[in-house]
Amino acid sequence: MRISRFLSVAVAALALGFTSQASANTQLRLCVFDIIGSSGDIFNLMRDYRTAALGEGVDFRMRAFTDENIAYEELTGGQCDVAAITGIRGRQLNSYTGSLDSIGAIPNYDALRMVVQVLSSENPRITPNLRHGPYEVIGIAPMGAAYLFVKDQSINNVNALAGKSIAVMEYDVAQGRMASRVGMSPVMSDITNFSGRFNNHSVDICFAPMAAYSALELYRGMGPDGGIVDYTLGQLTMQLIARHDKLPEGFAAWSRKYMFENLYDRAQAVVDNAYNDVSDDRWIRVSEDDTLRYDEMMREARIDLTEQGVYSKEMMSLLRNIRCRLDSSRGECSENLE
Amino acid sequence: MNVSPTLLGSFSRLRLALLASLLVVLQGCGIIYKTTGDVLINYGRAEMVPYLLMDDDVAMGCATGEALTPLLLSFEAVGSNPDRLAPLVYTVAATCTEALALEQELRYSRALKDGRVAEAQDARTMQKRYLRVTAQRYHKAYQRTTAQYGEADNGQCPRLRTDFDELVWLVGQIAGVQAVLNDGASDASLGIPRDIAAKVERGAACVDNEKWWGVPNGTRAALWSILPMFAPEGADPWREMDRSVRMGFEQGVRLPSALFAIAAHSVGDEQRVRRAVREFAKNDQHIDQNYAMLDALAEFLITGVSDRLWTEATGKRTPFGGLGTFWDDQRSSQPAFDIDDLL
Repeated sequence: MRISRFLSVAVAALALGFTSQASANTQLRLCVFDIIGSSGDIFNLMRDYRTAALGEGVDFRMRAFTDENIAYEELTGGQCDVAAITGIRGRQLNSYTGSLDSIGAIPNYDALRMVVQVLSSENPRITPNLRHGPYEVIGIAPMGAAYLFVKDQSINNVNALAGKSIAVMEYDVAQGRMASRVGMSPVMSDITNFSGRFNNHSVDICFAPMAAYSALELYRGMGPDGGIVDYTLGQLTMQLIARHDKLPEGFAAWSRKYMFENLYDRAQAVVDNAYNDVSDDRWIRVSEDDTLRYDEMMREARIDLTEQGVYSKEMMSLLRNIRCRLDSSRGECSENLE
Repeated sequence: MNVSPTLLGSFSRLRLALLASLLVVLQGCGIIYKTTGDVLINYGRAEMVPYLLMDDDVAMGCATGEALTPLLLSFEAVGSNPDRLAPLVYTVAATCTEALALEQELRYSRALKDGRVAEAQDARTMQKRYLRVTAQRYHKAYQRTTAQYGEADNGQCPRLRTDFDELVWLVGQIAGVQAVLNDGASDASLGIPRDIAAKVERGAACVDNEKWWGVPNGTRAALWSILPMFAPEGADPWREMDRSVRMGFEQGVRLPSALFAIAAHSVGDEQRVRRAVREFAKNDQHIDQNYAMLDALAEFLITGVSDRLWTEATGKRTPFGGLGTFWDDQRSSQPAFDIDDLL
């Protein structure tokens, strides 16, 4: 009896020892790109992520970066263990998730939600794609669809784009190539100067998410005659990219699930807010025929860019299947080119 | 029961007379209310605000704002115009909930440090609730400012006739930025328009920088440091803020120094934050007593920044009387002189 009590105490002590070892905190550095630093929406979201992660035994030290390149370099240089950066910027680290931001591939927010749900499902045919080299994508949140902002409402179809100048992000090859393809002159820009160029009329068109409309006052560049072309050119996403070897066992899966179940809809609510600032008459509606034409153009461009190695073939195929799941009447659904 | 027609006639006459006198009394009330409102608002502008500005008691300012705002603004319904007073009372009222939000943020940091996840999450929830109210108050302050004066645009500034107008304008601009930041920190739950930041960048240029202790340029440069796309070509936001900080110290209102610390904290530049806090603490000798409340507000803001750093690092806020010091400062028990000389 005494021996068995001793044994049970010993077993309990051992179990406790193991438990405390399992919950010992791993200290990691989380670098967050947010255009306005620690006062911004992404950083705010990541604070809650950090809190929940502590419950999983990961104690993050957070740092804000207003320059995305620096956050990226800190991750690749090993000063950050996890970084929250845009999908476009992270494309070089994982072309599969980096291709989420490909042109015209995710036409609406329902499709985006479905894609991220699939990516967070821990399905064995999906999860291996989230890891590439030393990096692993451990969470995705929406940052808003990108549109064309134009200073003249007569730019309402693709033919009218020819000869116009457009500010494109210099680190996204796809933007420049697509612009040249439809006869526009791309002007290489970055996040700090594209809105200034549009607002002081040194370019005719810019490409941006809706959040920029109010925050960067794109309505000033649009003037009274301008508008926003009502066609989704792509989806911008925020991706949490980690150095895989730094993560405790099981953390990546927890992180993807937590991001999708707890933070995705909150990030989407911030995105949705930005649409309230735009009055109806600012939208340049695109006819159904033109929409079909643009869908086809975008598809051709994606196929080219995939062949050139810019986009991932696997992701293009997944996105096509999701588009067709949501709307089987799309022309592309009858032929399997992506 | 039989009632004589004569009695009925006199009753209806009496009723008419009663109705008429009630109308006169009610109209009279309207006149009295409006007059009271005008007197109160003029008194507030001429006497109460200057008096309050001389007081360095931020808690009193906050309580005044919370208590008087509904009273003052209710006179709008009877035809008085409190628009010039409203930005000031809403702004001081916002400091109440801002202080409560800060307490929750510090609780969050402490809980996080000790690994108490549920408490940290609870503190975040409370922090967001308070920040939302704070954002709403600041936003009303900003909206009242633009309702009274309009917006600055393309180099056009509103007509600011008196020093009081300039002060209200300036406070309204800062309230605008605060509204956007606090809304963002509470999950953008109010959806306050983000273009306020750009509008304030232009609006702050409408008052003289030197006259207002470097606050106008300090505000603009703080915005440039956070949002470089608003900076004029070749502008150096930190150098510009430095100039404003000096100006604030010389004139005894240290608001630019607080703005500097907030901007540096926002972009994650801890070295600059520390420098700002140290300099702020050192320059406490020549406070302009006519604007003691604004300097005290600056101290409240910069102490908040210092408390955040202290709590993240040690679990405790800035020690009492310790503003300008940091937990890892070198403290040596060795005197600077040679002890052997004394022996």
